[in-house]
Amino acid sequence: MNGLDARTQEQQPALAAPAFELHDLTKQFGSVTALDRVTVSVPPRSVVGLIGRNGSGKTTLLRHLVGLLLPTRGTCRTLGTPSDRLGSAELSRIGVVNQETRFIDWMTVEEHIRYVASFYPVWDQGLETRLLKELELDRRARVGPLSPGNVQKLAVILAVGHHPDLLLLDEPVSALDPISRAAMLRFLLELLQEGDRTIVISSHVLTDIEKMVDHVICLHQGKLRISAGFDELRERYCEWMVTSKAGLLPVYFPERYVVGHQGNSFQAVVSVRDAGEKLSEFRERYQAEVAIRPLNLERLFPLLLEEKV
Amino acid sequence: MNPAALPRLLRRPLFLLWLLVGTSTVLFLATFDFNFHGYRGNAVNVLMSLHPSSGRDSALHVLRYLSLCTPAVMGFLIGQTVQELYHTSFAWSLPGLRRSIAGQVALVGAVLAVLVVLGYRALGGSGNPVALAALALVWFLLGTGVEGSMLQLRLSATGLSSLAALVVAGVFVDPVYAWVTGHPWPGAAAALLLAAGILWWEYGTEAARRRPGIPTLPLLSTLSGSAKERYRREIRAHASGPGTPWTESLAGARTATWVRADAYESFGYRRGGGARVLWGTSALTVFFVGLFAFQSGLEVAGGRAEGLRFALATFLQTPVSGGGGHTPPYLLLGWFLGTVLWAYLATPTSLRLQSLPYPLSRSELAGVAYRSGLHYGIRFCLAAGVLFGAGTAILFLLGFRTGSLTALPGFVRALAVAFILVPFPLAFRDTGRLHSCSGRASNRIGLISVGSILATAGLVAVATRWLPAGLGHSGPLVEALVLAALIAASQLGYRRWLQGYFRKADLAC
Repeated sequence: MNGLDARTQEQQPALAAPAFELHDLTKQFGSVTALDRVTVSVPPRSVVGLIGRNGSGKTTLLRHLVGLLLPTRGTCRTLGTPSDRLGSAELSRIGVVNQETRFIDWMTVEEHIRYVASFYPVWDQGLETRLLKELELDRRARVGPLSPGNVQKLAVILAVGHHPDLLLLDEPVSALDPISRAAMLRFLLELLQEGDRTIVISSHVLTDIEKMVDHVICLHQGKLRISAGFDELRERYCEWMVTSKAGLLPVYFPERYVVGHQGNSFQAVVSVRDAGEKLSEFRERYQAEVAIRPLNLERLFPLLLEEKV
Repeated sequence: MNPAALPRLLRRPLFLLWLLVGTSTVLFLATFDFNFHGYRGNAVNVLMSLHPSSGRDSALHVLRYLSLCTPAVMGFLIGQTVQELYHTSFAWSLPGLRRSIAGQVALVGAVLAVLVVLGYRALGGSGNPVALAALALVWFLLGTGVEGSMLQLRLSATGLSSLAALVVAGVFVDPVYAWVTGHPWPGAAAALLLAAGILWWEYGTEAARRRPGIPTLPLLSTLSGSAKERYRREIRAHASGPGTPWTESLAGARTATWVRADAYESFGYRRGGGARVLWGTSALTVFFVGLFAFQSGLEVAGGRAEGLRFALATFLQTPVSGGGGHTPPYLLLGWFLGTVLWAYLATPTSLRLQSLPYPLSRSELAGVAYRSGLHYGIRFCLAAGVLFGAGTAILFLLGFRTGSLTALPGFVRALAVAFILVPFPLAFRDTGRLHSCSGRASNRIGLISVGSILATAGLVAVATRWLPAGLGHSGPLVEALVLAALIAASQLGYRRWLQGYFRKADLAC
């Protein structure tokens, strides 16, 4: 059954609203503040990288988006609806891959897919078959004994089979072997080509997700460090490969736009923020050659953690 | 294991709460036992005003009963805590853990046994202190084994050992104490040998080899999501079998369809798993009810041979309105235990909100939870009805016809009372779900649970004493109306509670 054409036209206008909006969202578990006054708005058709260290609040944020958790203070709207009032119509447009998933262990993979497929008005069996083949997942296998990696593959298939408008992926490739991970990433990149959905990917493997994301949300200790377009971040942050032409480079660069550096007296790699116009001044001051290198997400991440809110 | 490990395990706030419940249970059991012997007055008062000439037998009986119940209940509570650690998979590889646990359990048991004997003798009990202490140690160790016994019970019929031994000891408490008092040194030797055997059986290497990885459901952790989830997985593994997979569409489905889906997820509704769980636990419920009824029969009949027949007859005849005047409290307690057991252990239904993407709003989830509870409540009562009906028929065929054909109204009354009680354990279960989302809320949840248990005990007391008395002269129509009103009230209250819960609670950890 490929009932995608059956998707109602009424769903389309909702896509114009932000995919999700958090306003002053605070979540407390007893005395622990998991999210602290987070305000974020993500436009539709974005691919968002949700990054942060362990315990920074990423999973808590994702669970607010599907209404499993309720804010202690503030608001959360998903697909234009307050998340505590998400109903069948909205939830049918969301796909989720949880970080830790316990599926129904007595079912086979096939039975499990059929069961979850029954939740939705449309289900793409062609996509299901293709993914099962590419990810080498046996339909007849029981879910209980599946390895964590295979459970993750099943989770992805269950999350995308109904072509959701909003796909939330919490560590979707963390348990996969390198070959499966590559296949999964290829597939996720393909999903992006469809271009009509919002994807939120939370992952620690930043090199994987940076190929996909166009927006980055960085959380640290429950607080929002930054929410910005990835291109904008790459413009704001970069690395200068500094080579001394005469004299020695200093041990410490006092410029405010320098946010990190490493190297020796002759060569240094300097991380800078908002420093585009300062380049010639820097060259002159230190009598150095400077080559500009864009930062990848892995190098960017520690700098974002130090970003002042 | 650190020598302070056991005290540290026992220092949890929940343990203290359960300790209170345990103490109440001892008094409750003693009082009921006392009442069943037909003695007038209050068991505690008798204890406090022992007199050499009057009431000597009844006081001794209460003393013996208390000296059995106290170490057994304490053992049960400590066993809960210890077994929770003992059955984890890592316990097997921790050096010296098993020996250390066994040693510390024995030490605690010995200290408790000494205290029990001191109390026993201070209140006028007599007998060789060594023999009495050895006996108390046996009760304590049997108590610690109840959790493991329940675990085995789920896997095979051999698991009744500790539980059955305690029940038998409870029934024959007077002869046991009389024999030990009359033969102190053989009695002490036999008791110590038994204690060593229990210790080896429960905490020896073979027991540990047999049990690691097998999930336990310690009472102390019934509110722990992980322990419950492990147990549920085991139930599902047992319940699954060949059959038809799910074929209905759930897109925009009605609540009733989701209730069926819930059952399908939980134990393979269409695969025989549902029937197995339903009938298995109904049988367990019958066992519990029968146990109490049997004991009451023996007690009332003074241990005579017709005790069993008396118990069955009175049970079938007068479950609520108390024609015999003796069985209702035990029967209601039995019903209640059965329903608690059923709700906690046998109906692991609840949608997997953290794992599966149900397209259901919070109010729809509340509706599914309520309907699911209602559905299983009805099935539980029907299953129990069929089982007891079969019992009635067998009795009738065996020629024991006193009241067996006129038992129907009382029997229906019993089912109605069970149906009134069903929402309470279901509420406990849902409270557990709340707890599973936040381990930080354990104290609060513990208090809620204890409060709920006390409230339920109050309800049982009302249903036991006042309801039958009030309805005794009113006729069947009024009685039916009152029972219907009580059922409606408990169902409505439960539904409201669920709606509030799903509106406000976090549904994930």
